[in-house]
Amino acid sequence: MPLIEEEKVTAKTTNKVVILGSPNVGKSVLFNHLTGRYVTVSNYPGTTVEVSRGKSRINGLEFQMIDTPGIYSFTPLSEEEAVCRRILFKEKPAVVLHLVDAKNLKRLLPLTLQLIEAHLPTVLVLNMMDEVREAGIRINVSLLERELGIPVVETVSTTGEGMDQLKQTITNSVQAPPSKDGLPKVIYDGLPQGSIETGLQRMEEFLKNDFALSDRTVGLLLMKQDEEIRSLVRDRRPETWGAIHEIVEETRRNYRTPLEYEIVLKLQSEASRIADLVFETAEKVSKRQRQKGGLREKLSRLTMNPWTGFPILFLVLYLGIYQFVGVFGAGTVVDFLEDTIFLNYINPFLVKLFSAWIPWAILRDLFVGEYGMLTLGVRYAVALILPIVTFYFAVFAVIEDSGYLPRLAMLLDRTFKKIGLSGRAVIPMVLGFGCDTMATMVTRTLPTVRERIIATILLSLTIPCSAQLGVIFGVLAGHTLALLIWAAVLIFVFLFIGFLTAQILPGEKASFYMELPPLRLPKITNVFTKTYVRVQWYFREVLPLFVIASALIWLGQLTGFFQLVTRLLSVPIRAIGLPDSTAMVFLMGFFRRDYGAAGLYDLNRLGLLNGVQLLVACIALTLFLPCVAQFLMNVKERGWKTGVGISVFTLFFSFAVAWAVNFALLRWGVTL
Amino acid sequence: MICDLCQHEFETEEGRSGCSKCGVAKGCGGVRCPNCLYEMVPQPKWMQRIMNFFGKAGESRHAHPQASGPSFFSLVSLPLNTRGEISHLNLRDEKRLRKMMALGALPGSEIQLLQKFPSYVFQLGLSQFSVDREIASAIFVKPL
Repeated sequence: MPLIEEEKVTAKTTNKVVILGSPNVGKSVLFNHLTGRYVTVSNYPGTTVEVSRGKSRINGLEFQMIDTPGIYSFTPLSEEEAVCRRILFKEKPAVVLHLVDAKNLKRLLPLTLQLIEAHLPTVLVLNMMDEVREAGIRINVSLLERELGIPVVETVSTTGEGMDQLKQTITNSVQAPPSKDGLPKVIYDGLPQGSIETGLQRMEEFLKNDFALSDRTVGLLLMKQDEEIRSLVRDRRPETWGAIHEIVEETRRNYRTPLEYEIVLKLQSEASRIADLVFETAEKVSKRQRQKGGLREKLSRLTMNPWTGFPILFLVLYLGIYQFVGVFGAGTVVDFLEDTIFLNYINPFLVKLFSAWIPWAILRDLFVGEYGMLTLGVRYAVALILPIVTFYFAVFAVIEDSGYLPRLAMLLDRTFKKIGLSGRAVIPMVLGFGCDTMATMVTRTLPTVRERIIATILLSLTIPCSAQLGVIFGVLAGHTLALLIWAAVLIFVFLFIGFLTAQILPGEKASFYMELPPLRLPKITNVFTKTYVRVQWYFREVLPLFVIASALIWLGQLTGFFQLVTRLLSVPIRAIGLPDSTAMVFLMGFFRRDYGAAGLYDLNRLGLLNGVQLLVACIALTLFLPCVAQFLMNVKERGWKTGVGISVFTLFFSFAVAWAVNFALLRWGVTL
Repeated sequence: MICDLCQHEFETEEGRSGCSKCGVAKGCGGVRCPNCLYEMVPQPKWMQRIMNFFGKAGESRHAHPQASGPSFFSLVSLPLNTRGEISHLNLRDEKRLRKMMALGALPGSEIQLLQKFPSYVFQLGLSQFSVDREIASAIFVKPL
């Protein structure tokens, strides 16, 4: 996609407001405030991987708000950062809100300076002012405005403080666009002759203001060897490209260090100068802040120290996931909904109703038969999957908002390096336990293609989603040893396949860098909203699929196709030591893994399987084909070849592992 | 370590950066000073330990950061909880450099090393970051 192509101007475009800033500064919270919509908000860098757009009416003017994934600088480090930059350069925003964590102004100001340099209509938003005040810092806003030459607004986006002023500033900027002349600029000098600054001035003659960005920014990006910009300028100015290229090369020769580094140093020193000027009592503050950290800091250290961190991790998994989601959610609540509500009241009622109204048994079966759309499809979705997913997403929202995930990433980085990934991949993997489809999208935050492919394979193969996990916990709850073997087999497959793919796939080694946000107490309202939004999204996807799958099974049964497939499936199923009745479960698993898991749940209640068979079935189903949504996401993110390849591989591999486990258990005479 | 010839101080890892291109079998233990290219063999760890044991720690120049004059350490060899100022970065790998710049780990910033295992955690300004050994070994710090 070309970078600085100007957008084709439609007859009437609404003013666009782009919200951008470094990761985890609260861009999405601000977006929610300004649009009244809800996009997911968490306490870890990289929550937003997609651009969200929403309409907003401020003081009678119509705006389109654009929420972007976090970026650190104009030079993108990963795919989602590149997307953010393209928006900025392509869509001609009327206002760019640069949102910063105010207490880290010094570190974040260089991006503001770059935005001003690019002649983008920037407003600096100092967010998290509550934390700044708590730390005893004061920021001289009017001085900051004078130094930067742009409007500056103080906000606390979580409480909504400063929103009115921000809205006023946005409308002001649109009604009276600020002049682009006379903006302060960073001077990139430092050499007596042939400095970056001289190069930039020489280049202006050739660039001639032909781009959506200022010539200065285009020149700087050329000096940084930015490939996207280089090819753009080469295409658009072929006649002068030689001269431009010569200037860049000459300047590069004059410096001993990379030009990009020199540019960043200049930006940072200007940022430090301004920050030191406007921060009042900064020195005193940082000391107080250090002492104040107290309990929060201690807890944070405990989660990061391997001796205490791993026990904490197991405690979180045991209490949060196993006890709360598995035992209580998938056990108690599901039993109540299934047995008491559905099987005792709703299903008999529906059967009676349909018997009275529909005389044809075949048609009746479609709705209320053994695999009926209502008695099976809706029941699975409402009584089984819905409670499990709700409990899971609630626990997960708390974990996300506390800021625990980046600490977990840091703890597991070394292990993940062995399988070709870095600690950054911990976040999509953990998200996969919620929904693998969502998680596959989050692999965009990984910096290299190699890491993205490995992560996608592991998500498709080894990570069970919340619905599956809940059902499996429910099924294996009485068999502790079976549960342990199940977990051990999955961990082994995860590491083994990861290790193998890392050996096979070419590409550079993964590297790990991550900001550790402070631990925060999750806000109840956000936990509720997030759980609600996700459950609603999940349910909307699951319900129609379950109903359609039930209808297809009905059709298959009617035409005899179903019996044929079941007979075919019974071959591998017998090979892994399961009775023929489980063929049904795997057939359901083709539609969705969690649908299959739900089928297994039913079989288990009828007492048709012994411990070993349950374990083998659980392993096969966990490793089984990704669901339709995840398959489509794999194709969308990784392409047809990889997407289909992953599915074929998982199909055979899941049976192979199940066979091996069954073989070993029978050989050793294990009973579970 | 400090170069025997030109007294330039550098990280042992930095002195081994040319090893992969060398035709000699690996594991010779030699280190080349990045400043003057003089080749030498660093003192083995067991010898350092014996010296420390007999109280000759002063001769092991890395045991005490403040021992002699201004010196710098990579984050990898910086003692825990030491506060320092970033003196320079290893600029060789541009991709790695870009990541350090993104985090704001630039010369002149105050830094405090909080943890080394399983990953490196440091405080930079008012934020905490975690990086792997690769990146940590490219950040050089002058203890304050």
